[in-house]
Amino acid sequence: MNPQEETTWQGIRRKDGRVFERYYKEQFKTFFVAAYTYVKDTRLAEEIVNDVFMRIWEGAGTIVIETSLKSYIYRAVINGSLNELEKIRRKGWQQLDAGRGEENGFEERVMEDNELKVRLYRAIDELPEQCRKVFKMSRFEELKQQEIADQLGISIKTVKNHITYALKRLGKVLADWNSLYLCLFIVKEIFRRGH
Amino acid sequence: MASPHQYDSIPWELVEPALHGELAPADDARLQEWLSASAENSRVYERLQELWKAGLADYPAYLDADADKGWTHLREKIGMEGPMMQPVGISRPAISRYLAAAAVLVLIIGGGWWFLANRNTAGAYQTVSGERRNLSLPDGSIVDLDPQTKIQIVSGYDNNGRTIVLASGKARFQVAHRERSPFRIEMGVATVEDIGTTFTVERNTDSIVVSVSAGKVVFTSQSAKERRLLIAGNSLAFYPGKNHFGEVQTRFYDTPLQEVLDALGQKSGKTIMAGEGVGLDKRLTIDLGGESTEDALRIICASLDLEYADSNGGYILKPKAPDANHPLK
Repeated sequence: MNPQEETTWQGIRRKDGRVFERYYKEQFKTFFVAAYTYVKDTRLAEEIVNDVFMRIWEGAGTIVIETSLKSYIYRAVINGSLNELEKIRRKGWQQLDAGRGEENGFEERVMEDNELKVRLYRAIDELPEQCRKVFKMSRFEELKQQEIADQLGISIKTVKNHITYALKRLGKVLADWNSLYLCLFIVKEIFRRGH
Repeated sequence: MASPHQYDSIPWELVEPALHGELAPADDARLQEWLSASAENSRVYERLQELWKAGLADYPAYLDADADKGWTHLREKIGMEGPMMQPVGISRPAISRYLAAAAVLVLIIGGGWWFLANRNTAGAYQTVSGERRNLSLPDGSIVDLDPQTKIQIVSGYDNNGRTIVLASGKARFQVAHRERSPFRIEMGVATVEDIGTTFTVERNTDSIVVSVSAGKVVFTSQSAKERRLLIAGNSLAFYPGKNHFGEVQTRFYDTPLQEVLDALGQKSGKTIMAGEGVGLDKRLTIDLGGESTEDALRIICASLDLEYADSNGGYILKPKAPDANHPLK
């Protein structure tokens, strides 16, 4: 565990409600997105995250975390989500391929994909206001460029520029992420071969 | 994936309308030319398509996720009271009054929280993959949960009997002796009852395996209407779907050592490993029925000139060290 996480974890173990609340609010959206990826229901995703945090709060005195606090919570959220999908499947409400992924590294890949997703969403949040508005209207409301231009009273060229800027910004997040991932992979390989 | 500085060379005036499905035929030809110019161009475009379609799909839900509302729900669930984080926008005098009131509240409930934090009370407990957990019960009994195990401590534990529901997974129970209050593990199709012992129960999707290390337990099958007494060293497997009791193997004839160790591990609930130089292809003809785990290991080691040692809660077998004092040395 890194020093910051260690401080947080010790605070939670001491039943420091402020530390617990701060950590919860910082990380909630990240874990929420992970749960939502599976269950596609906002209420259920929140419940899954809250169940995990409740178990951590109540069992902090006895839980042993061998990796990192974040990884621990991720695993619990993913398992909780897969369990919910299994319940739904058994009730026959919908055919779902939960894909529990018994192969090695499944949970790690899910966590990495989720981290990238949250970085992209935060990048959208950080776009300049008008740019963000145009991008959301284009991608999520599926409006044509002319429709966006008419609604916002701007030119089509401006609409195109905004979307291009947003895509470049998100593409940069992807490129930075892949570079970081490559660096981490190389470092891991160096240590692995050294043992 | 394109490096950040290469993003400027992407023909956005073509890519952007293409992602919308609004690319004119003439422009489409130019896009295809750019795509076929290099494999990297194709990869970048493919990644942008994925990003546009699936990668951003959950963004609306992300926007809906409300950490403050989630926190309110969580506090209600936990029954949490006491000081909260300082809300944004409250004036300094208001903060002082707030903190003063919160300090009094903490003092009042602090003792209660400390007490409760050190005892595991009624409720559900669950471990995830890779997690082990140790629970101390109000009567002094201890439960060790293996990974991916779910139990429920029934409300009124130690006041109205001592009952735990094992929903799934594997748990080891060290039960404090209370003659007038039997300790029960409920599994719907079967019950394990004990008055003071150490035993392991493993509940799988199609079987229940019980192993007793010390003391005695009574295993009752609700469906087969049958009861079995297990003493220290005994193990039992029950298959609810077939209403069938199976024995965990204790007799071996010309059996490879690895199989014997696997069976002993299953019976004891502990990991028994063979260290370097042990020779897992060695064979044994042996009856370990009724023997405790330690006695069984002594018998195996004596048969094969091995010795064993504790290792991380289990055991490891290794070749016996040469005796320096042997007269022939």
